[in-house]
Amino acid sequence: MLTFLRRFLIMVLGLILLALPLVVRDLGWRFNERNYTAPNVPELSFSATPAPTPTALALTNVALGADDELRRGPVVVDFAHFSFLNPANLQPLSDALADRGLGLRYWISTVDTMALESSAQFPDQSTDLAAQLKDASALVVISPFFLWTQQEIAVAERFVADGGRLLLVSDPDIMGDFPSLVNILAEPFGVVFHDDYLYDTVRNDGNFTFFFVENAPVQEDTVANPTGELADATIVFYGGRSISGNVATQMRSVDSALSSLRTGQSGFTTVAIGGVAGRGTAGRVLALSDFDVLTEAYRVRHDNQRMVDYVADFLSADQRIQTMPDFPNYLGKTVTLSYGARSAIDANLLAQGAQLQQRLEETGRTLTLSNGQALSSPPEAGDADASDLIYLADYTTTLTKTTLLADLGVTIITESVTVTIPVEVAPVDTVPTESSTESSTDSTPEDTEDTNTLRERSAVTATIVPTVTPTVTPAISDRLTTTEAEEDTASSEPLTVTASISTGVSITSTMPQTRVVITTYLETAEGLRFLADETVLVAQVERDNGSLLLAVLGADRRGIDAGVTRLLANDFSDCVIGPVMTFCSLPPAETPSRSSGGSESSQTDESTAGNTNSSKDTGGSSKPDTPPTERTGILLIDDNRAAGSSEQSEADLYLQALIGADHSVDLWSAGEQGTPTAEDMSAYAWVIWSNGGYADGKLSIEDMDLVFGYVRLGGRLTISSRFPLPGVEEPSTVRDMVIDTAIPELVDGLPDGSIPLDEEQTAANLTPLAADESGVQIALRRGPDSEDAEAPLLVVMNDAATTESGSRFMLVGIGLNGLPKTVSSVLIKNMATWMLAE
Amino acid sequence: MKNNSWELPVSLGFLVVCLAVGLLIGEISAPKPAIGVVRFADVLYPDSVNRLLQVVNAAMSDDRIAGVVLEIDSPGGYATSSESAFYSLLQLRKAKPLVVNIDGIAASGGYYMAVAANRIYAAPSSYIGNVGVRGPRPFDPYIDPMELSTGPFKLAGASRFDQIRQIELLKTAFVGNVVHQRSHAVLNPLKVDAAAVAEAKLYAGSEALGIGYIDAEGSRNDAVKAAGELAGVTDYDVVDLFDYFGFDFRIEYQEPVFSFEDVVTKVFAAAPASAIYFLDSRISLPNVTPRSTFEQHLLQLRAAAPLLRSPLLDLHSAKTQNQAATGKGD
Repeated sequence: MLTFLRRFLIMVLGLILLALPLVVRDLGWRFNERNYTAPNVPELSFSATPAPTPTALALTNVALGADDELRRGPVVVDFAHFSFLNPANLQPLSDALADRGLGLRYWISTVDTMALESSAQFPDQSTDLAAQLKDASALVVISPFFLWTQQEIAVAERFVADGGRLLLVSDPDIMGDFPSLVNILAEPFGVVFHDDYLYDTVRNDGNFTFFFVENAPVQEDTVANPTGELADATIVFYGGRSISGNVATQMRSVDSALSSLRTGQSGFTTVAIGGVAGRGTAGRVLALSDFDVLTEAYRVRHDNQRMVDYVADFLSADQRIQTMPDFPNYLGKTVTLSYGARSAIDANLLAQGAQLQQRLEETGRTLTLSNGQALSSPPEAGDADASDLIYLADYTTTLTKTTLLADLGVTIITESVTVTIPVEVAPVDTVPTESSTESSTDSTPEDTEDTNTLRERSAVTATIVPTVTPTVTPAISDRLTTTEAEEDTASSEPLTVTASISTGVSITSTMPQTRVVITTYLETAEGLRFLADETVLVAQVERDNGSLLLAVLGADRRGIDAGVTRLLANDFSDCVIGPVMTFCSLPPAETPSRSSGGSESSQTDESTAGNTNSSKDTGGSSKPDTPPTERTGILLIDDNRAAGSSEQSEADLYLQALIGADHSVDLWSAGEQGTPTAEDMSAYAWVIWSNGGYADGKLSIEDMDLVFGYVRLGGRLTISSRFPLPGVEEPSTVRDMVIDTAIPELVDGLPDGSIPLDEEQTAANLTPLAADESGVQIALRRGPDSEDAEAPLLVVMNDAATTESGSRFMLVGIGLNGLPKTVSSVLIKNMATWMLAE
Repeated sequence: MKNNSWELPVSLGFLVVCLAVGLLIGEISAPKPAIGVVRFADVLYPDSVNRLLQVVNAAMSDDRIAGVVLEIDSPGGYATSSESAFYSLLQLRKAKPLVVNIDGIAASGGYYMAVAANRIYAAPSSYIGNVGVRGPRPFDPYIDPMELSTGPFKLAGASRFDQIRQIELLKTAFVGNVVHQRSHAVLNPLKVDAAAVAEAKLYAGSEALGIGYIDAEGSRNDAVKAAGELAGVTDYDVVDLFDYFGFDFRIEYQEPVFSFEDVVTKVFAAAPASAIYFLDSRISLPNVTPRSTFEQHLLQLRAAAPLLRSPLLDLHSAKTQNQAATGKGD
């Protein structure tokens, strides 16, 4: 029993030990107790957002774009600074611009960026930019990657100041966009882009960066209040930044939109109009801080298309302020070209007209030629033919044939200066000569040197002494004659022409030591003076009929050509450009040009009957004061400077007759080429100065000085003019003529008796020349039916001496085109034979 | 009476055996609870999340594990991986207390994991938050000259605006879950609204405490203590769950980390260009938009230009150089 109890107790104890650890761990230490209750957080479910299927918008049948008759300048888009921009994104804007008659032009750079080792090496492209903007309407710059240089910015500023429009975009989600860099270009226009982005977590179009913008409120005293175009428009920007500066806010972000940088603010400007009044750019710059709104597929959301239209309207508004260099953008669609008062257009003028026409056609304009009446007889206002006019003429023609210069307030002033020219005189044996050089009969040769005075303008008193060296026998003493000014001379100022001629004595007259220099100026109403020979005047005038006159005026053909060249090249550098008149420089020609038009003659070697075979250089081998070694050919100067539009040229008669007689003739048109110089004439054996066909044809003092300089050096000169000598201008009517036998060669073949003119002429009475017939030979006289019958018509003063000069001087005091054709032809041939005889 | 001298030792032996067996039964039936610690120090991608889930599932089924402390040091990663981790941890939290200790950074997807916990502890210098989504810029549908497909969105997957909308959906879910979970936090509920959370700011630990992103400042020990409190245990072991369960892996960066950029670039080297991320904003997205040689050259020129610097461009520049080094991006 005791053993049983003992074993029983051990069993129980064992059981207790078996259970004790579990009880202690579980109930005592509560190792299994977990008092954790999961938080009662309900499940969160998200209902699927329905995928909106936008309603397809039917494309409206847009009418054909603006029916502009003229091609407007394109909108230039800057890709030359390597924006990370896909050109395809410009399609919606391009579409809108096309509706407004504008196209896009991409400015693409030729810079090899892969060769650049630093961004500082990116070159200036201002020259290229200027070329791009020359005809552009607007410029678009979107997040440029490389810096704009100061020169490029200056070009852009000038463009905008001239009326061009500028769109500046800095979009934060365009790769490489850097507002500090864009601001280098933007700040001159008063625009500042901030280096932030705007976002709206409350109200957005699918992403916090797609924020809404609204029309800015109207404010007083702003450059430009918001246009009504975007009022009530729901527009979203897809990644944009804020704009500030001296701008007029057009659109701003809604109040719930915030800035990543500008904390504590709202209502940020996102569309603004900038520009600086002081620089003439106010209101012509549009700043935008998002580009995506203008692209697919964003532009079809909400009212974003109105934003596209707004930008297109801005870029297409306004017109460039067209100044002279903007030729031909200020001309209308139809343009007429007139060559002054010329009645015939030569090949050079035709080529020039073709160039102008081509240039105009590039811009959708047409050019037609017109006669010289286009300026003097413009169409009436409202006339369908009231086209713009391009007028090319020299100053003289413009002055005499139109009122244009007077309308512009420009007058032509001519000043004459008599200067002393020291001349070396090679003394000949025997007797020193004396020649009167003053209008007084008491004058002495010494007095010649005292005539170096500045004369009143337009009132010239000068004395010209043609020097001839007659051949005389030693037995006869020299005899110098002076002639006094006629007391009854018609000229208001005394003018004396003295011919020192004697026969029988070998003399060498003293070279005249005075020279008259005539300078022509253009003087404006403000008193500005320009040297006419060195100035090209381009004027832009609105006529009474509303059309535009563009006049290119020069002293001569060279000046006109230079002006047209500037127009075609749009090169008005070294020009002073005004609103109406532009004065351009024309450097003096180094080598004056010569004309050989209208004849078979040339300036090269030519073997023709009657001519010595030699080449004639334009400049000759002689200096003005040195006779050339050899003279050949005939220079026929058609002095048509004062020619009327319907008057026939006498030079044509000379030309026909001389060429018919196989003479080599060079034709010089003074109206186009200007007055020839002594160098031009010096190489010719015979110079004919012809203006007898023109009622107003006269020689000026300067002309006389020129031609007598030629004679002085041994040249042979014929002046064929109704008023051949200044100071001998008493007019009287010539109806017929008779021959004189003093020089039989000249009248050979002409009929005896009175030779009636086909048409009576008014010409100077040359009787004073015959006052001393000892030095003058008369070949033709006025006939009995003419006033001042018996007065000389063809006078010769020749030197038949064996001296080296061999000069001859002939005056023809009527227009040969008044004679019967057969008579003039024979006379001219006789003149040629006699003048060119050895 | 017979003398049984063998009874005493036998009896003693019996009692000892009973005691031993009892202790064993007690150990097995009522083990000392343990707080398991698991450290997640990696970006969120399928591999790393799978390892985490293995540990989490094991902890869920082990009765001894009274609570789990998840130590996070992650800038986030794939959106899908982040969501997977979040929802798995939510399941764990239903069964056992989960306390998170942020050791360094819990940004984006890393924080997404954290909000599944009962409590979040973090050091004041930790970086927390950045709640948002990142992905490539939407693009328009296209056709490939080398392929013929059916359906207008077969190649692109969605229209431009569908892509935008989908990113917003992910953001809505992410933000919604963060707001929902933290609003129900007992200790320090969320003090800002969804809009503020959607701003995706990255907060320092002390800031995060102020707005309710975390529950308290502290360290691992605080997290362990909290887990014990939540579990209702006062006497417990602290075990490393990888060792406890005999796993031979860890969830840590494979190599010494000099920058998350390196890690992300390597880990996500094979990621598709269209991948979506819950990723720290300071890290460039890998392979989002491969840059051509030309574009890379331009960006390098810009990076070297004086006065033309911006954080974004610096990031891109570094990324470009990294891509050039790893041969990616051409």
